[in-house]
Amino acid sequence: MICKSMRKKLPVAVPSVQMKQVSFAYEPEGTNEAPAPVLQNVDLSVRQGECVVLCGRSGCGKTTLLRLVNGLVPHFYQGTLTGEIRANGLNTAESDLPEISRIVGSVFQNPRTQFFHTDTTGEMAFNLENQAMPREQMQQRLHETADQLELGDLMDRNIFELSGGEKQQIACGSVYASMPDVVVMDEPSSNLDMPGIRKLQNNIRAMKEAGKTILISEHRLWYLEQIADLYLYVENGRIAREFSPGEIVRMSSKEREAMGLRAVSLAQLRTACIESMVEREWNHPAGIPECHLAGTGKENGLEAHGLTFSFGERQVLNVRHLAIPKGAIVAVIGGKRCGKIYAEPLPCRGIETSRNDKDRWQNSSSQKTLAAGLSCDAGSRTPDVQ
Amino acid sequence: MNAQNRERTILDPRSKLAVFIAACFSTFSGMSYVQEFALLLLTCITMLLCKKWRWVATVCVLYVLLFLGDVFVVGRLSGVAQYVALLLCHITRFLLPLFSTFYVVTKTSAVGEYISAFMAMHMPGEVVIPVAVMFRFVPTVQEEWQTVTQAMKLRGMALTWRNMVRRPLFMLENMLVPFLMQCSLVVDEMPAAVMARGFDKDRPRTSYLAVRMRGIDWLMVAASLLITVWNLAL
Amino acid sequence: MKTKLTTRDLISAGAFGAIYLVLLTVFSMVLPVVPILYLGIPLIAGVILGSVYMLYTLKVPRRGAVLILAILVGLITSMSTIYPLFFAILWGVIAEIILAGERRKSANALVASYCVFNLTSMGPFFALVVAKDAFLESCAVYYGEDYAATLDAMTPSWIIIVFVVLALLGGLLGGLLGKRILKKHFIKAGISS
Repeated sequence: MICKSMRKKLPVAVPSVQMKQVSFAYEPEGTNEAPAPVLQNVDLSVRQGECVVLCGRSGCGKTTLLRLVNGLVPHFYQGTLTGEIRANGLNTAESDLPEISRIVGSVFQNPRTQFFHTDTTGEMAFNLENQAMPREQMQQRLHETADQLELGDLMDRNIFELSGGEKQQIACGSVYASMPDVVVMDEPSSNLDMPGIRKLQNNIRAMKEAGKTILISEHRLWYLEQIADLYLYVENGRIAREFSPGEIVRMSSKEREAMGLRAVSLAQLRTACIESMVEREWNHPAGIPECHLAGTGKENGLEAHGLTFSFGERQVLNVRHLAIPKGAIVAVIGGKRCGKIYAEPLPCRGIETSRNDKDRWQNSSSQKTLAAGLSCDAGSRTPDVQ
Repeated sequence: MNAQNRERTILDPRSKLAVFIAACFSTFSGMSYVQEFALLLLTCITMLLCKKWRWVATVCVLYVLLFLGDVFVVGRLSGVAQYVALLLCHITRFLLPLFSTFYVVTKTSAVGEYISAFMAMHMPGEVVIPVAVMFRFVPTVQEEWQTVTQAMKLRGMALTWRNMVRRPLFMLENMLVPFLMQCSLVVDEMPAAVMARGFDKDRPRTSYLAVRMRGIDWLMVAASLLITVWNLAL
Repeated sequence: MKTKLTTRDLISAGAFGAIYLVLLTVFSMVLPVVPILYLGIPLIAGVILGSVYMLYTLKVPRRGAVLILAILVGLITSMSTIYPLFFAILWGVIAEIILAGERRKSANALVASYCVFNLTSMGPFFALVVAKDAFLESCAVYYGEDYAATLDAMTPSWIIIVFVVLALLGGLLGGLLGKRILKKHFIKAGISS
């Protein structure tokens, strides 16, 4: 049940997004299974201009909630639906996707799969083309959008050349250009690095200033600290709890962990939480200061002395000394092009392996956290591992 | 930003496609020197119209070199050297117009232009959409494939001839399955994203880019047709 | 089950077309290094692409999906001559007929339809059959006289039958492999029903 007293006082208006006793179960995969309900008796009411964050563990139903708003459920993902969902008064179950998309815009989590064109301008215009907008109007809208979201230098470029953050900017731009009243975002920061997240923050702020209702489903909560008006904690297909921004920040870390939530503010993010700290800066081209794990007394599982690696002329790694004890899991992080990517395959297979990865890694430019486990099982999809 | 757009599309994408098709048919039908020159000329004009000055220069220089090489050098060598020279001068020369037109078609026009152009011609969505998606998807397929081979290499199962011969089924399963799984996920996400943005083949849509066949385009198409017929007939 | 092809199906068709064609192109470029492997393309490609085909038919279980894929493949393999496109359409139609109605759900019918579908990978070789001399001449130009001579020696005029057999065999093996792979991995992961 929604407790209205916890809300900030916003001007009273028709709810922008409304769900009444909504239950949904996806169509089963096999023929003999019973459908497993994903959402059960959800009631939701969001006012125009509010920014609501849906949080909760994986599989709790947040994505399905968003899909109900943008119409992918039930028009794309089949299943059994009961209850009523309205976005700006439009009943989503009874309308079709093109109609809904005029009111609800969507940004998805994987920038690589959500675009249709190969050039950025065409991609930005995509939503407008689908709405059959006249060409002059489209050009004007794109111009305005590029100004307001500061996308000027991303126009007219090949999408495959952009970084994850830039691709997500284009996605936000294309949604913004079509001027929907509601914007739905499914874990938009998933594949982004710090600069990318900052840009995303700015885009969301711009949308909020334009008066749009925003629904965001997220695991990574800290970047929404000053932006969200309300946090809804989803558990097992129900909206279990509701928090105002003040309340969620004041929650103790134990309670937060019990709910499966990550840091809610930047301050919480920066709290050190590892017992044995390993500080590393793989600065290119300077070398690494000599440093090893302090006082663990364990045997070294991996030790490197004077390790360097270069592509032809360009030196990318210069490690004077590195010692990692057995059984430790070391995260390699750093900014763009600092060389961390080359560090990861090295412990596993020696220099031979990384030499073959040349062309691939040179284009990688995001800050990602890589776990180089000593069991050398870190080979899967390394750039996207979080 | 908008001015750039208009400047880029001096040639309608359809005429570029026409030149490419002409090159396809002509290259494999056996050409005399005159026919080769004609095709190369058409290709160069196309590239000039797309403002790719450097390409034109490179292609011309390359062609002249290969031609001279073919006439003077190949005859005087023998054995392996001749084979290599033949390979270079003959094959590369043949394929030059083909590759250049391929570049023109893919690099100077975006997928969006082709979609707009074909929809303006009222070609059915059933044909346009799969083809457009196919072209947009090819780089993604390459990326996924690379990721899988990368991961396999780290596990000691690199894609080499030796490994393929020693444990073919094992390699196959471990390369193909992750690859298909990844592609499967992408194939699920993409239509969802596209349709949530209102795309529907049965609904009318406008096009941001102005694609229109002008006089110059018809000329190029006519020239391509002429060259194709000439090559196929003789 | 709706029978008309929706936008979602068309997008899936394009995506799988891309996968199929990229793999086929890779084979067509890597294998011709050795003359015997060049002729073995229908077989080898068939074995590997079988899984792609099976996954595709599982994802888009509608009438016309296979035909669209066949047309896409035909278009791209028709780079040199136009014949592969016509034949591709033919094989696509036959494959569709095999899968008509409820048979679409039967795994064995899918394997059979893939046997026929794999004949599309024979596309580039039609020139070898229909206009052999011209083809050998251009081959000599590309790969040298010796290559052309070897190819000539290995391809008597009844080679078309060998090709068809190879393609069908490749289709059979690929289809069975695809069936096994799908059952083992994909259905377990719940990716497709």
